[in-house]
Amino acid sequence: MKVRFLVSILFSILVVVFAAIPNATLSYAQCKCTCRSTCSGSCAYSCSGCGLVDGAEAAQRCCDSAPAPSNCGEEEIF
Amino acid sequence: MHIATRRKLAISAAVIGLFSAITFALEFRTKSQQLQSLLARDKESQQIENSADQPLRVLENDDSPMRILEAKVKEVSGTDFNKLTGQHTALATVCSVPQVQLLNSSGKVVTGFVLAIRDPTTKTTRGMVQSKILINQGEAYTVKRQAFMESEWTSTINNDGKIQSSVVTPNVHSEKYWISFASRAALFVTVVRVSFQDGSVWRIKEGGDIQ
Repeated sequence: MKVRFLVSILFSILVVVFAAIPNATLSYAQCKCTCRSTCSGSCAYSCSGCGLVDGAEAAQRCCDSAPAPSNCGEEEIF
Repeated sequence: MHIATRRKLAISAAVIGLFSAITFALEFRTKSQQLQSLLARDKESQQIENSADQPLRVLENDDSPMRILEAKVKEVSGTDFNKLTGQHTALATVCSVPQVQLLNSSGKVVTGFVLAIRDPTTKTTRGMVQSKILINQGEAYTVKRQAFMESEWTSTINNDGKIQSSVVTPNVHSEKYWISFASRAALFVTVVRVSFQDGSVWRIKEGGDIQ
C-alpha cells in the first residue's frame, strides 16, 4: 500500500516535470527581437515572447551588429 | 468681317477664358487645400507636443546603478491615435514612447545601458540600447523620445509629379511614436543592463512586479 502510494507520487512528479519541459522550450523559441540603429546615435529595439533580461541581452547583441544608418538627413528628388 | 464670324470668335474667346479661369481656380484650391492640410498636421503635432505630460510607472532594483528620475509620455485616445496614424487599436488610450531622465548613482563611469518599456502580461518589450557614451558618477542623462524610434523615409509629391523623399524622425503621425501594444497602466519602464568603463556589467534581477 505504502509502495503504491510512493509510486503514484513519483509518477505525478514525473508527469509535471515532463509537461513543463516542452513549455520552457516553447517560450524560449518564441523570443524574438528586432532592432535598428537610429539617427540620434541609439539603437531602438522591440522584443516579443522574451523574458525581461533575456530580451535585453538579445537586443544588446542585435544592436552590436546593427549597421549605423547611412542616410541620416538625406534628401532625394525623383 | 462678317457679324456671325465675329460673334463666333467672341463666344470662342469667352469659352476659352472661362475654362482657363476654372482651371486656375481649381489649381489654386488644390494648392490651398494641400497647404491647409499640412498646416493642420503641424498644428496637431504641436498640440500633442504641448499637451500635459503623463508619468510612466518606474520599476527598478534597489541597487540599480542608473536610477530613473523621471519618465514622461504623451497620451491620446484610441480614436485620436486612429486619426493620427491610420492604425486601429482596441486600447481606450495610447501613450507615446517616453522621455526618460536618468542619474548615474553608481561609483563608476557608465559607458552604456539598456532601457525597456515592458508589458509583463504579454511579455512584449520596446526599448533602446545606448552605447559609446560616458556618464560620470552623479551625472544626469536624458533619453529623448527620438532614441526609441528609428528614422523613416517620408515622400511628398508636388503638382509637377516630382517626388521628394527625405529621412525624418517619426512624429505623432507615425505609429512608431506610440506604444500600441498595451495601455500606460499596464506598462513599466526600467533600466535592464548597465555597462561600466571598467568592463563590468550590471543586470536587473527579475522578481515581483519586475518580470
